[in-house]
Amino acid sequence: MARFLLTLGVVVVFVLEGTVMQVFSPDAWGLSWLTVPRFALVCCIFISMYLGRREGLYYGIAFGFLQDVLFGQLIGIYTMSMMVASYFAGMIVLLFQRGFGMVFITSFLILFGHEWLLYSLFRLFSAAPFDVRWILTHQILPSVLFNLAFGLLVYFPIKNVCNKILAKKEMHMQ
Amino acid sequence: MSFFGNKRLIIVLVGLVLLISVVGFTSRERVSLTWPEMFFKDTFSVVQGFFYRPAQAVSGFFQEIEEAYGVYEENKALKASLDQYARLSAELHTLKADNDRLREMVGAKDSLKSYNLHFAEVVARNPDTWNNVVTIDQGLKSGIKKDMAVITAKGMVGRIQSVANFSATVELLTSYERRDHISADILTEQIVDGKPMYRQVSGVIEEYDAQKRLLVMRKIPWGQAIKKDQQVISSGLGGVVPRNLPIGYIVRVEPDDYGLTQTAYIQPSADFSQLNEVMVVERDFTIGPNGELIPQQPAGQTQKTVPPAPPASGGGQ
Repeated sequence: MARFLLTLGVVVVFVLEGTVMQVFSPDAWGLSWLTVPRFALVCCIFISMYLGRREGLYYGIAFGFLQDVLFGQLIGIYTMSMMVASYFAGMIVLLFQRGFGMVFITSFLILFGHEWLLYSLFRLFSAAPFDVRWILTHQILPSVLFNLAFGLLVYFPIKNVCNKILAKKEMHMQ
Repeated sequence: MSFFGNKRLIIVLVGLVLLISVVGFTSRERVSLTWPEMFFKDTFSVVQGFFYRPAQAVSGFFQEIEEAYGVYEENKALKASLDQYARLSAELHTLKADNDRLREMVGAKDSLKSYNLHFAEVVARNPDTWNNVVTIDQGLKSGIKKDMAVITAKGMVGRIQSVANFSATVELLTSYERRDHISADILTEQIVDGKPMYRQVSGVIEEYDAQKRLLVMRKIPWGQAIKKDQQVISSGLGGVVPRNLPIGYIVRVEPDDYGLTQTAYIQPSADFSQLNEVMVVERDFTIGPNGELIPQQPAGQTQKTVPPAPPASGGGQ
């Protein structure tokens, strides 16, 4: 039940990314930054941290695949980037204590790395040159901060649901 | 032997090969989608519609409140331009009559311009700018095909990238990774031998400059006097986009890197920040590979609606 709720929650958040968040995009209000909501990825990262990297990998693949299929023809870019991002989140977390600050520093690095990976992938396959500094200050950094703010919002709910799932797993083990 | 014994490694390697081959297979421009893709897109377009429409309705409400403060000023400006409109429309009618008469004399068909419109609602928009697309709620079942132009009342916004049964994906002109080039004309007024002449200067819209939020039009012939605020329309020569769809206004012109042609920066006339309803343009004629015109409808069937004039051929001021 808890797992179903978790997955449904991430799906809803994924749908919000493409619909309701359009109203709140700074672009629509005439600002020059671009914030790309990556709520599903943030959720995948937290899941990977609390349920283990294997689970994170599966969630990353699933939602990356959805992103690829729904918003574009090229399948594989987001599948790969989100898979790699959430897997690494689960791996880094093994090395340290899983405290609040550590989780957010890791998420920051992972989100930044994800945007950077996407930028380099698109840069690799396209003829049009993009100004690195402009992309960094106007798209990547605002997006990362925006997504971290969202992470603050869902940190405790996801942590609780994940702990419930883990507790259930242990009951089965015994 | 231990290499084959390591099952996990094998799985990872096979997965990687599969992933890369899928990327390779899908990175080409495809004619149609596979059925799983269609299934996913159709299902999610319904769900996304539930969220998008109310959200846009609420934001539209707040925008209207904001606009209500400017109504008095707007009304004054509109009244001032109304007189001009009456004069312009009279001129347009006489010119049209003239044009029809002359065309009849030479026996030319007005086929590059005629088109039908399909109305569609936007149900979702990709938040990512790399591949900026919107999903609309009309698909194959309502006659939408790949590569059709998509417009709003103000101007062109993109083209159909892929179609599923009940939804379609529109690639916006503002996408960083746009794959289509649009053949366009600049409407200029030039002085030739002391007399003002109306000329159309052609070029190709190739990309979107995200930094300045302008479209970039290249391959404009050298020596043509192009000024600010001149209108840019689609030329109808590309094959699927009909003629006369407003695209935008010239902001500035500069020589290209080699000094052989000119590059113009265009302010799109459509508003990309809020997209609710769009129109998909179905051309009455398509152009075959040898340049001949092929009617879309079976011959003998009368054309249902030849729109009286392309919407806002004066552009969205």
